[in-house]
Amino acid sequence: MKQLLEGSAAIAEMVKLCRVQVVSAYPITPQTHIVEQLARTISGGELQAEYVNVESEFSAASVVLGASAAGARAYTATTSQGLLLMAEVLFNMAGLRLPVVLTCANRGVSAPITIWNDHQDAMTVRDSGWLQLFAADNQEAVDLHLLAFRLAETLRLPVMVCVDGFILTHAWEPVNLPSQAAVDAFLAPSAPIALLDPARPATLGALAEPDSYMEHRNRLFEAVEGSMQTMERLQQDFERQFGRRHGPTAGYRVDDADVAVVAMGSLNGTIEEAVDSLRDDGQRVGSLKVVSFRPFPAAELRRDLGTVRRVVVLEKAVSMGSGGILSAEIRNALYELPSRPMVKSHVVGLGGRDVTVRDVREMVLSTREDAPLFFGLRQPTAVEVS
Amino acid sequence: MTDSVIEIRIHGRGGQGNVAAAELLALAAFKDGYEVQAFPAFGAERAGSPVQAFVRLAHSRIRVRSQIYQPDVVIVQDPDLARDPSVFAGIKPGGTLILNAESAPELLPRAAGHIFAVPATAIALEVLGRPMPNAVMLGAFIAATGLVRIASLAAAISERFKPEVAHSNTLAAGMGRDRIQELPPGTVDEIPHSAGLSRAAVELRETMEPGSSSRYHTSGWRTSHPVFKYERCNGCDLCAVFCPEGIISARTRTEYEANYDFCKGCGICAVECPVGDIEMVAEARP
Repeated sequence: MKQLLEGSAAIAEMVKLCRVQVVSAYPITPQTHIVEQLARTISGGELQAEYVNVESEFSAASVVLGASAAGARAYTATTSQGLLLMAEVLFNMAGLRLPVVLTCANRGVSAPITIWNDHQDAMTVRDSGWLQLFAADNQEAVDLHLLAFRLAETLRLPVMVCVDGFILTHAWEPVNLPSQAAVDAFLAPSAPIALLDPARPATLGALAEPDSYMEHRNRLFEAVEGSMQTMERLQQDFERQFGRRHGPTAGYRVDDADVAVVAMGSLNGTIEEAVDSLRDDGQRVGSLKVVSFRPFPAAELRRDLGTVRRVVVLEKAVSMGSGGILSAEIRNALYELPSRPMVKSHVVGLGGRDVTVRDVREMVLSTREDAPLFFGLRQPTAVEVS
Repeated sequence: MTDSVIEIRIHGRGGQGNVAAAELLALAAFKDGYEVQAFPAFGAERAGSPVQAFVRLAHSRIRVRSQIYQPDVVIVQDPDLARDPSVFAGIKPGGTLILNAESAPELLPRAAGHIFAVPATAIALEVLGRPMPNAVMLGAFIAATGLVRIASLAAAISERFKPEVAHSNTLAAGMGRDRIQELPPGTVDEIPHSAGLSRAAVELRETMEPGSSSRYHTSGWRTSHPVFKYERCNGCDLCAVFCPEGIISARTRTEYEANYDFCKGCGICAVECPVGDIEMVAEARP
């Protein structure tokens, strides 16, 4: 049955249904509502779990690393500066193959300070070895958390569920939360692996000398790259049980399209609205949502975009000195095609800049190849000029 | 934009329950079978700052997530903001405007099909004992638009609040519904705004311009201000120490004063004063 919930509350409820055993987090806008509710759930006895208060995100990540190594189902959530402060531990968790699940309530990074949404935080740790899934709405956010725990424990890899800060975390919309029995049927009630066990003492992440480090990194690479097959299988399981499917990519009116708009996260709803309006005007436009950024769905993109003439990528992060990140990876994937579409990148929505249906229409209709990378910049004010 | 989506924009100041109003309206509409979406405008998170909240209602899935620039309905919770026509920016021709106001503001938009006023602050003070206009405004919304049932609003209120609070808020909503008055049509053509932003958003933006903090008088946020009585002051300095804005200073050993251009009326000085020499006095509104 559908309930009307704030995105954060829906996510916290799903994390509870996933029977996490250890939660450690440091509050930071716009992640706060998620961990506040989990803290209340645990202190109220509704969930048998340990909530570890810490003094920083570095410690929060370290706590869930240890908890996961000891066999607990461990969860944390953060955003922006918090995610960056976790960066060192994120690489460790991936290298140690620990099935931690993290919610990133996506927000821009300093300086200047912003509390508002973009994807720069998550994109900055894209090379860490974490799987990264981006939710387009709150139903997808909830479902991806359940899928994330199952994926993490099946693959022994950490999974980050990216949820647009404020736009989704603070939006109230109807969400279908499964029953505890349904969740238990999809996800075993406890985590399957304990690497640390006093009965079998072991060292994790010890020094790897030059004659073995590359082999370790290669195994991690193969695990992440090869995770697409497992993702596909678990998506099918999920769809069979819940009747919904979330990627790794999802097209909207794209099969016969000349132009495809590609984006991650909550932009996709607004984009679909723009697609309908452009179709009404006789334009053959469709859209493609990228749900899984890691593993990167290169084969799926070649399949879905192989026949379009032009790809318009709307992206909320940028690699300074290079350009859009998602678009670069899409170009990389499409390069193998015998006849390649043009790929135009538009950086949008940084630090919470609103993106409207009209903006999307303008980007699709503009065929100027020399259009600036950043869309819709304001003219500088007198103060800024002086 | 699909025509069947009804877009509602709520203007107010932090502390007037703007986000709660959006949530309650969405919850009531959800009970009436609508697809709904409610979200805040994500401004500075403090009492007094201009804020917006948005609600969309539809009979099919709502996909668009941008803020609302062409609202079908505008609710203005703050009487001061209601005097600034830029909060009406973009209202759809024939749209509905609902104001918290004792009397008709001078400048009202010609585009609005119906303009209503309700003395929401007065009703809230009477029923709730504090100037929280949101439930009253939602009652007025129901009377003005007929989009949501009052029983659904009451059920939404009961779901969100403890019984006593729910009871008085339901009462307040009922009074808002009953005491709404339709105003004559507006006379002002829409004031064009470069970015289509409301005054609230502009104020927020101006706050963020480089070098703006001394120009931007934040006193407009407050609903009351401290008055130093100079009767029992012992010069302990606690008012100045605890003032989060750092705008209280000593004129003499036992006479303190506040810079009212920047005082936000938080009342911390009055609470901290050990001898009760500071009184918070409600702002006189023009």
